[in-house]
Amino acid sequence: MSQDILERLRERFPTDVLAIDRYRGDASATVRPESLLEVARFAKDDPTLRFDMPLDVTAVDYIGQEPRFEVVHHLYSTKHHHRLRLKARVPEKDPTIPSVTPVWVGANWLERETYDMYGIRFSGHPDLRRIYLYDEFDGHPLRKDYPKEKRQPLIGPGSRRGASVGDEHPYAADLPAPVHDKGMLGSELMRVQLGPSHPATHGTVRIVVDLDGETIVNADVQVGYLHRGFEKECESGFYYQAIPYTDRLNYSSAILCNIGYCMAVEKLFGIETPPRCQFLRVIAGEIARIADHLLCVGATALELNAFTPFLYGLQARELIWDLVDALCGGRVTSNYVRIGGVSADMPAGFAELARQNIAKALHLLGEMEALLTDNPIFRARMEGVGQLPAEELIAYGVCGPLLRAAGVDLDLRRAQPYLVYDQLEFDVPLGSQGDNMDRYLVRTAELRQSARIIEQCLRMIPDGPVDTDDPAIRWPAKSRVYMRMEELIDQFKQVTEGPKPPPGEVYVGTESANGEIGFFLVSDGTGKPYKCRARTPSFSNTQPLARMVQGRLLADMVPTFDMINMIGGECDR
Amino acid sequence: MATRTVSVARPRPTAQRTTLGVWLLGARAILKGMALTHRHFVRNLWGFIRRKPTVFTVQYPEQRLPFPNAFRGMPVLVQMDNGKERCVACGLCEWACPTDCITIYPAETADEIERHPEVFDINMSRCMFCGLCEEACPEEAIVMSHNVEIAAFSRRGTLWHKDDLLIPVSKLAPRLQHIRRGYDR
Repeated sequence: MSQDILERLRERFPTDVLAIDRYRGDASATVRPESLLEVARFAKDDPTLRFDMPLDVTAVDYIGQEPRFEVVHHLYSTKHHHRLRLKARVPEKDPTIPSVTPVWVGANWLERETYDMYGIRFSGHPDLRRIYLYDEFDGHPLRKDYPKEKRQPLIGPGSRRGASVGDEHPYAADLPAPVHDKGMLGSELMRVQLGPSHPATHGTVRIVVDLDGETIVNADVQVGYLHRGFEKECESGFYYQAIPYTDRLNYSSAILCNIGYCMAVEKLFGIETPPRCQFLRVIAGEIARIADHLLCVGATALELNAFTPFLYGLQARELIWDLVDALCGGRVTSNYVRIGGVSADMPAGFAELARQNIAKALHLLGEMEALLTDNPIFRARMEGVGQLPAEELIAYGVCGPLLRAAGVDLDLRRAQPYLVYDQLEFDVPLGSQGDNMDRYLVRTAELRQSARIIEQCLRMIPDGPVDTDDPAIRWPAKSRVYMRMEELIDQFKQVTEGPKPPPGEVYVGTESANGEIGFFLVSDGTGKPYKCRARTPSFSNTQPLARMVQGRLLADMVPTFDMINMIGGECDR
Repeated sequence: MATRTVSVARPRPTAQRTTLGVWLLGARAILKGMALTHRHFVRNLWGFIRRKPTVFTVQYPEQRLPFPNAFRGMPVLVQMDNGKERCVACGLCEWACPTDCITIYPAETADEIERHPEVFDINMSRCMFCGLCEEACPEEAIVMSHNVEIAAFSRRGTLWHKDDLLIPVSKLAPRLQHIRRGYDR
């Protein structure tokens, strides 16, 4: 299949496609930067390709080579369920490449991020400003010649970001011009700052809204308050040292991020984990998904002023976290999955505890639903709010429950089954209208499906090892390290040098609680990843927020933002 | 493929109802909510009267929940029966630590195990309780304890030295058992 994609591209663009490549099943094509836009347009419109979703835009800094930067686009087709990696090299002198925003509107933020991190300019981009870092930030931190220890000047009240509340809006010059300057009644538009720390937004995010009366005319979403250099940190440590950091991406379902990362490293090695390990990963992952959805639904109720469902939701999540605790040893930051295995097998009696706690949690979920689903106030706030057409959501790269609520059948567990999902029986709930009510209903339905998956896994889980028995990948077992010389040497080599996958680049996308979380890894054969890129669902899902609330009331912002379920750690990395 | 798609059932649109119907819907929601919360309240009150509390919350710090064996609290050093540390200052935990919070200065002693850490500091303000040090340790010398109360009044207080970190091996029995079971693949 992927060969066909590449052949089709080469057939259409014999001179512009410089190289095609398949590595570990990933199709990638290198194109001349000048023709990128044309190739992108073809990839989107051609009926056999139909790459309608921009998953990710990033760059790789091959310092010392010329051209130095490689801009990497990851594309997905929701129709054919295939993937493509488009690459183009740009020189250090003039790192300019055409923007693909005319083709996929969702490339907007992704290109802004690449500009922010690598200093690559996208010609034709409508709004090319920094996204995570502030304007005074000196340099582009993901370039290889940017030292990790570099300190940045403190910015004070004199600078624009430090401007106090009463001043002229510090970003006035940067913001896109309001859609109309005057309101309907000829009145001035009012600019309201929601956040960066606002009680009705979970997560630290700043939304600048222009209001005409109470109607939102224009909204500018500014993310990056939780940016902590995830990718830089991963690139400066060994492969195994990045696992605890992936916990902190989506801190309400950390295990799903662990799984995605470890599967990407395993794909670099080209190995399969033992069946018991795969079942354990599915169990742990679905437990995390339950916790995430419970928090999302509970917090939404809280922010719509319904405190009781929130308490029931948190009580249910507490029961779920007891399971994570018993299995992984940490409640929030589980650090459970390892490259080539998991950190520990199930403790004795875990299956019983899991059945018990999940049954209790589902009972509490039922009580939450009894309070919410039929409640006229809740319905009035949720129904008919926040819709966008499915095509537009796809063009924004939105995935997960948000997209499924709009009726698009895209669940990677079903579309491209990984781990043991192809052996399991579960339903993928779909919505019809794509409003917040559908998003809420899809999440609660998914909760029950996750419980079903866990039950099946607990029944089906085979005996056997939980780790790959290869000292080049997984640390040797402790009993042998204590007693035998060779394993001790392996242990020392593994810890001090890290696992060394063969050179190459892979992308692995898995279904996390909010959509596709993907890891793009480039290995240069050493123990540290040359490039570790996380494609996170919250980032893509937050992007169309402004579009979802445009023309709606300010009060509609709250449920819409809640149902997007932006997780700061994941969005800002 | 055993998966299939299902459509979620939406509640009946309110537009199909009369004004009175909507009012009744509101009244029903209030009654339903009251019934539910009161059920919880009465059950908890009854539990309180019988002195068998059914409330979910606990009164920390007077009341504490047990930790599972897998639980990772702060890392500590295992103290052998002779009062010495088991650590031989090989430095693997220092290598494995993603946040570089461990500092070791090795030295020699006249004991049977000649190598030991002269300085073993853990900066608890950097430690993220990931447990990689425990997994890397080839001597079972650094383990994750059940202690999570590491708050300090000063930054200096978050720096734990060797003497603070040593815990007698007898107190760590459940954890050592867990390590042996968990990593004995």
